[in-house]
Amino acid sequence: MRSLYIIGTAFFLSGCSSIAVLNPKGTAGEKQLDLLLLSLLLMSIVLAVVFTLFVRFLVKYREKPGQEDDFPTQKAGNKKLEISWIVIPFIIIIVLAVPTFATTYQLDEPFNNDQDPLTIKVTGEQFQWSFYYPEYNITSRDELRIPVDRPITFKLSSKDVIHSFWIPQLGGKRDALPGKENTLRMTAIETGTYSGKCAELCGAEHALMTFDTIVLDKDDFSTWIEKMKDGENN
Amino acid sequence: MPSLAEKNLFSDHHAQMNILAFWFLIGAEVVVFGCLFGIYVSVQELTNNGPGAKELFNLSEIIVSTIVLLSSSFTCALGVYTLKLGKKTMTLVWFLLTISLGLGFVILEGIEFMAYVAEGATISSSPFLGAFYMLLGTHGAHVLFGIVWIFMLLIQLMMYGITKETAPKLFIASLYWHFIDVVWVFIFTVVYLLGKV
Amino acid sequence: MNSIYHYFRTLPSDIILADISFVIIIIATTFLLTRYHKWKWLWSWITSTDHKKIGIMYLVVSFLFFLRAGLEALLIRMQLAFPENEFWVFQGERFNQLTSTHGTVMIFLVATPLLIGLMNVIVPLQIGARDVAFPFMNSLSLWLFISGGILINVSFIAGGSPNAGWTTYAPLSLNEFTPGPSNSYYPIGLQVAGLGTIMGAINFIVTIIKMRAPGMKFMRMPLSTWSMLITSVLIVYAFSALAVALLLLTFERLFGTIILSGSEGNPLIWQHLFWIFGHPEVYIIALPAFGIFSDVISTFSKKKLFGYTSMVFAIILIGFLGFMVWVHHMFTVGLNANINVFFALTTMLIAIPTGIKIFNWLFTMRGGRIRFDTPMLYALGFIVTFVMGGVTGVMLGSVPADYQYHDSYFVVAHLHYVIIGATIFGVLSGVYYWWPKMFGKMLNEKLGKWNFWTFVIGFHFTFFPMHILGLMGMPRRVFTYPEGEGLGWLNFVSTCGAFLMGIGVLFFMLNIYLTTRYGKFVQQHDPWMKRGRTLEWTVPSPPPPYNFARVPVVTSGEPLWTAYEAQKHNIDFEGDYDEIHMPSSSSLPFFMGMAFLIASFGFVFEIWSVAILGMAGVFTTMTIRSFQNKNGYFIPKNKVIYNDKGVGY
Ligand code: HEA
Ligand code: HEA
Ligand code: CUA
Ligand SMILES: [Cu+2]
Repeated sequence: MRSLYIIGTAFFLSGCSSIAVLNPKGTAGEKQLDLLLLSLLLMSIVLAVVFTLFVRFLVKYREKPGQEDDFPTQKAGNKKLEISWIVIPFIIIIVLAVPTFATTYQLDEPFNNDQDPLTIKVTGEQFQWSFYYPEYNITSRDELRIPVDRPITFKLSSKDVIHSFWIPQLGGKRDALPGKENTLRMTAIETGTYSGKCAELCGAEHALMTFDTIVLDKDDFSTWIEKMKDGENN
Repeated sequence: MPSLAEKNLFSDHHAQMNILAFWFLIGAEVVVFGCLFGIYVSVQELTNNGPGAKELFNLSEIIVSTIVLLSSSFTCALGVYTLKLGKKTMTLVWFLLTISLGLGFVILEGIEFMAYVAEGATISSSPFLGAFYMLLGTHGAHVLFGIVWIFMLLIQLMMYGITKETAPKLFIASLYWHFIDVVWVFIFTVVYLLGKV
Repeated sequence: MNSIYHYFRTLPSDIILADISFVIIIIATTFLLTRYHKWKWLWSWITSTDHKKIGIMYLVVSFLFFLRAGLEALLIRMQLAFPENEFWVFQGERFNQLTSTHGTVMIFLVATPLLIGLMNVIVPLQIGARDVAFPFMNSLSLWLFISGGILINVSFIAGGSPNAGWTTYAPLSLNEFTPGPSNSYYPIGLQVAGLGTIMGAINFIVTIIKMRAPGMKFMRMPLSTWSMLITSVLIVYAFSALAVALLLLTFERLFGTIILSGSEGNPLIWQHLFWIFGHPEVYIIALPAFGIFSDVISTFSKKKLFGYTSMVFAIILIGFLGFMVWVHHMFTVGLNANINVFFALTTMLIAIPTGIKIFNWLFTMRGGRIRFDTPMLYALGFIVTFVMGGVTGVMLGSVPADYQYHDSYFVVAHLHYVIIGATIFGVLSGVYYWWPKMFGKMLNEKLGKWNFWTFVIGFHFTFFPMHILGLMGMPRRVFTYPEGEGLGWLNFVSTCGAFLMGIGVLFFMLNIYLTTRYGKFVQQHDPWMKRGRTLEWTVPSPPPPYNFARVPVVTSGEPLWTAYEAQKHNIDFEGDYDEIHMPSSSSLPFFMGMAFLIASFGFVFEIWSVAILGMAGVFTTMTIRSFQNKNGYFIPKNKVIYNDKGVGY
C-alpha cells in the first residue's frame, strides 16, 4: 500500500495536504484512502489504454487528401480482441472488488471491549448537531471533542429529516435517520481540529450545519470532560 | 388454436399491434402493483398502535366480494367466446353481467372501507393502513376504469356491431379485466389470508 | 386560494424578473405569430401526428427547458463562485430551489425528451416505416410531456419550486417540513410527464417490432434503433416504478398517509423506489446516445461497426444489470454490509459491457478514413469524457470509498461527466448529423467547430475541479462554503468554465439561426459526402410526410453502403407505387394535455373543484377518442409518383 501513497502523491503533485480525503487523520479515513488510491491506479491504467488507442487511431486513420473516394476494408469484428476486452476488465474489477469487500466488512466490525471504545450519541436536527456522551452524561452542541487513539462508536440518529454525519479527514460519512439508529466507527490518530459537515440536503441551512471536531490527547480530553461536567452541574 | 372467426377478427395488422402494445402495458401494470405490494409488505407491521390486519379484516365478507369479482372473470370469458362466434346480443349480455358484477365488487369494497373508517381506521392512522388503502384503492380504481371502458365499448358494439374495429377492442378490454382479477387474487392472498395468520 | 393571494403580496426580485420575462415572451410570441400570420401554421404543428414533426417539437420544447435549466446552472455557479458569497437572492431556500429544479428539469425534461424526440424522427426512417405504430398516441405523449414540463417550470413563479433535490428524499419532501405547493409540483408534474413517456416507449417498442421494412431483420437494425428498443423496455419498467413512488409522495402530501414519515413510517421506502427507477433512468438517457454514436462513428470512419453483435448484447446486458444496482446510491444509509457488497459487485460489473462498447467504437475507427465534422467531433469528445466519468463511477462503486465521495462534489463531477458526456454530446452529435435530414439544410461547420470547442473546453473546466472539491470535503447542495478551506479558487475556475459552456450554447443557437435564415437546401439524399449507410439516407432531405414512396426491401445491415460499394447512387426501390394511407391530424392530444394541466394545478393547490374539472376534461376527450372513427386519408398514387420522381435521382 505504501507505493500507492507515493503514486497518489505524485498524481496530485502539490496541494495534496489541503485535500482532506487524501490526508486522513483517522483509521477509517486511511482505509478508505487505500481503496481510493487502488481504484485510482486501476482506473489510470484503463484511461491510459483507452487514450493511447484513441490518439493512435485518430492520427493514423484520419482521411488524408486523395482518399475521399476510397472504400476501406470493412471488418465485422475480431474474436480474440473482443474476448480480451471482456477478460481484462473482468480481472481489473476483481482486483478492485476483493479489497472493497474486505474493507467494507472491516469497517462494519464492532470494536471489542478491551479496546475501550467511547460511545457518542450524535443527533442531527434542523440545523445543528448535538453530541451526547453516555459514559460521562454530558452533551455538547456543534462541537465534537474526542480523545486521540481511542476507538469511537458514533450512534447516529435524527430528530426530524435525514442528515448525514461527515468528518472528511477522519473518515467517510453515515446518514442520521429519524426513527433509526446508525453506527459509525473510527479512531482519530492525530490531534487537531477538523471540520465536520452535514452531507444530506436537509433544508434551508443545510450548508451551515457544520461542526468542529477537536481531537485532544488523553489529558486534555479529561480536563474538558471535567469542565463540561461542572458546566452541566451548575 | 385460434378459431377461424378469431383469425379473421384479430389478424388485422393494426389489431395485432394493439394487442402487443397491450401486453407491454400489462408489464407496466405488473411493476406498478409489484411496487405497491412491496410497500405494503414492508410497512405491514407499522400499525402505530392502531388495528393490524388481524384485528381489522373480516374474512367472510372478503370472500363474498372475491367470489363476485372472480365470477365476473368467468362471464367475461364467456363474453369473448360469444364475441368470437359473432353473437352480438349474447356478447352484450355477458359483458353487461361482467361489469355489473364489477360494480357490485366496487360497492362491497366501498362498504368495507366505510366500516373501517367508522372504526377510526383511516388512511392516515398508520403506515400499514395507508399502504392498505393505496394498494386496494389503486386496484379498485382499475376495476372502476374497466367498468367505464367496457361500458363504452358495449355502446360501440351496439352501434356498429361486431367489426374489425370493435372486436379487438373488446378482446383487449377482456384481457385487462382478467388481469385485474389476477391482481385481486394476489391481494386476497397477501393482504387478507396472510394478514390473518 | 389563500396561497395565491399571499404570493402576490410577497414578490422577491428574481420572481418579478421571471414574471416580467414570462409576460414579455408571451406577448412577443403572440405578436410575431400574428404579424407573420403563423397561427394556422402553429396549429398544424400542434395537431400533427407526423412522427417527424412530433420529434422536432420534442426537440424544440426540451431545448427551451435546457436553456432554462442551464440558466439556473449559471446562477448556481455565480452563487458558488466565491466563499461566503451572496449573489442576488440565491441563498438558503432559494438556492435549494435552484438545484432541485436544475436537476429535475435536466433529467426529466431535457435529457429524456431530447433523446426521445431525436429518436422519434429517426427510428421510423431507419427501419423503413412510414410512421410509428400509433401516431395519435405519439402526439398524446408529446402533449403530456409538455403539460408536465409546464407545471414544473411555472412552479418558480407560482407558489415556489420543489426544493428537496431532484431526488426529493422524504421526510424533507413531506408537508411537515416543506409545506405549500412547492414539493407537490414534483410528484404531480412528473406523473403527467411520466405517463407520456411510458406511452411513448410502448409506441417505440411496437413500432420497432411490428413495422420494420421487409428484410429488416432484428440483427440488421442500426444501433440507434436497437438502443431505442432496449431503452423503451427499460422505460416501461422503470417509469412504472417511478409512477408508484410519485403516487406515494402525492398521497403523503395530499391525502395524509404517513408511510414515509420519520416517526411512524419508513422514509427509506422512498429511496428504494426512487432509485429502482433512478438508476435505470441514467441508462435510459445514456443508451440512445450510445446508439447515435455508433451510427456517427461508423459513418465518419467509413467503416462498418466493429463487433455489431457484441454491441447489441452489451446494450441488453447494460439494460438488465441496470435494474440490479440501485443500492449504490444508498451505501451510506446504513444497510448491512452483505447488501452493500452485493450491489458494489453488480455496479462494477456494468463496466464490462460498457467497456465492450468503448473498445468496439475505437476499433471501428481503426483502418477507416476518419473525418472530423462536428457530429464526429462530439462523438470523439464523448469517448474521452464518458470514459473519465465511467471510471469515476466504478470508483464510486467501491463501498468504503463511497462513504467519502457520497453526496460530495465528487458525485456532482461524476454525474455531469457521464450525463453531459453521453446524453448532451450525443444529442448535439445527432442533431448536427441528422439536421439536414430533418430540415434539408446543413448546419454551418465552422460555427459547429466553435460550438464544439467552447462547449467541451468549458465543460472540462467546469467539472474537472469538482472531483477535487469533493475530495476536499465540499458537500453537494450547499449554497455557501467557508473561507479558508481552500475551496475558493477551484469553484471560481468552475464558474468560469460554466460561462464558457454558455458561450458554446450561444454558438449553437447562432448556428441554427444563420443556417435557417441563410443556409442553402441540400439536394442529396445523403449529404455527408456519400458516407451514409442506413435507410434514413435513402430518402429525400427532408423526407415526404410518408417517408418512403415505395417501401424498401432490405437485404443487408447497411443497405445504402452496400449500394455504394456496388457503385450505385442509392438503393433500389422495387415494387409498384400505390396510394399511401396517412393518419389524420388531431387536436385531441393537445386538449387532453391541457385538461391534465388544469387538473394538475387543481391537485397542486388542492383546489378540488379545479382538479375535478380537469379530470372531467380528460375523460371527455378520452370518450371522444374512443368513439372516433377517423381512419386517416389517402395520398393518391399519381401524387406519390410525381413527388418521388420530381426530386433526387
Ligand atoms: C448517463 C448517466 C450515468 C451513467 C451512464 C452512469 C454510469 C455509472 N455510474 Fe453513475 N450516476 C449518475 C449518472 C450516470 N452514471 C447520476 C446522475 C448520479 C447521481 C445521482 C444523484 O445522487 O443525484 C450517479 C451516481 C452514481 C453513484 C452513487 C454515488 C453516490 O451518490 O454516492 C455510483 C456508485 O456506484 C455510480 C456508479 C456508476 C457506474 C459504475 C457507472 C458505469 O455504468 C460506468 C461504466 C463505464 C466505464 C467504466 C467506462 C468505460 C469502460 C471501459 C473503458 C472498460 C474498462 C473499465 C474498467 C475495467 C473499470 N453512479
Ligand atoms: C442533463 C443533465 C444535466 C446537465 C446538462 C447539467 C448541466 C450543468 N450543470 Fe448540473 N446537475 C444535474 C444535471 C445536469 N446538469 C443534476 C441531476 C444535478 C443534481 C441536482 C441535485 O442535487 O438535486 C445537477 C447539479 C449541479 C450542480 C450541483 C448543485 C449543488 O449540489 O448544489 C452544479 C454546480 O455547479 C451544476 C452545474 C451545471 C452546469 C454549470 C451545467 C452546464 O453544463 C450548463 C450549460 C448550459 C448553459 C450555460 C445554458 C446556456 C444558456 C444561455 C447561454 C442563456 C440563454 C438564455 C436565454 C436566451 C433564456 N449542476
Ligand atoms: Cu443537515 Cu444537511
Ligand atoms: Cu446509479
